[in-house]
Amino acid sequence: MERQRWATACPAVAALGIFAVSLATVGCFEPAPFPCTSDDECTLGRVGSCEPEGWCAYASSDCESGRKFGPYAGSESDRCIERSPETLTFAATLAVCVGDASLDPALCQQHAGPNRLDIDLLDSDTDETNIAYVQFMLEDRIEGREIERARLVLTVASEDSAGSDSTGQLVAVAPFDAVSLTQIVPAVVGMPLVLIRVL
Amino acid sequence: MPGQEVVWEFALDIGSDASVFLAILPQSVDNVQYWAAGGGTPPRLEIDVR
Repeated sequence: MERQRWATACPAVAALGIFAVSLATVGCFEPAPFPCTSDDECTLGRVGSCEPEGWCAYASSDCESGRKFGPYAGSESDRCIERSPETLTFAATLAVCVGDASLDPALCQQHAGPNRLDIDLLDSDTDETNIAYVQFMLEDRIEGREIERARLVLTVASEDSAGSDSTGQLVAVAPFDAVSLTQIVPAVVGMPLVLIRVL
Repeated sequence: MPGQEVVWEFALDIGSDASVFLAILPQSVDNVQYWAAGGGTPPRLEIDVR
């Protein structure tokens, strides 16, 4: 059986029938494993990624996940990568900048308190609309990962809250600069809001 | 009701500085406080990755 496989893989060598040569050609069907520690090492004619298993992986349309291990991944060679999605959680690093502060990113950062998040169409005290802003710093935690979906989760805190989950609209602000912030400041009540991009 | 979670699911677009900045515009919300001063649960971003 092994001889048959060997012969199929390397017919020219098999025809020689020389045992010594066969030993020298083991690489025909079992490439030497090449473990990796970083993405930089995975450049098999295309950009790959070093997976947590310690093997390189590359894009592949043959796999549901779109990725499979490369040919030098030992026992995992050419196997599709099928792993369950992992959920990464990030706490807000910035929340709420209201009034004039919302027009300046620096002031927004300065005035934002990491302890309050109100959303109010018409603040009875100021006659202004309270827009909630939140910022999350991802750092390098999702680098090299494929993003499936994202969720913003807020927890109602106040007993007095109306507690509706269908009356706010989420908008991405990008980049975080004065122009973008200005654009999402609502017009006078009764006028349409100017949105950058509704998510 | 306190403790009730409100979830927005969206397609994530990561900024060049690896940050996500979001604004929540009220439409018919009447004074909902999601994160109370001095306590409460901070807003969180959940990202499903493979």
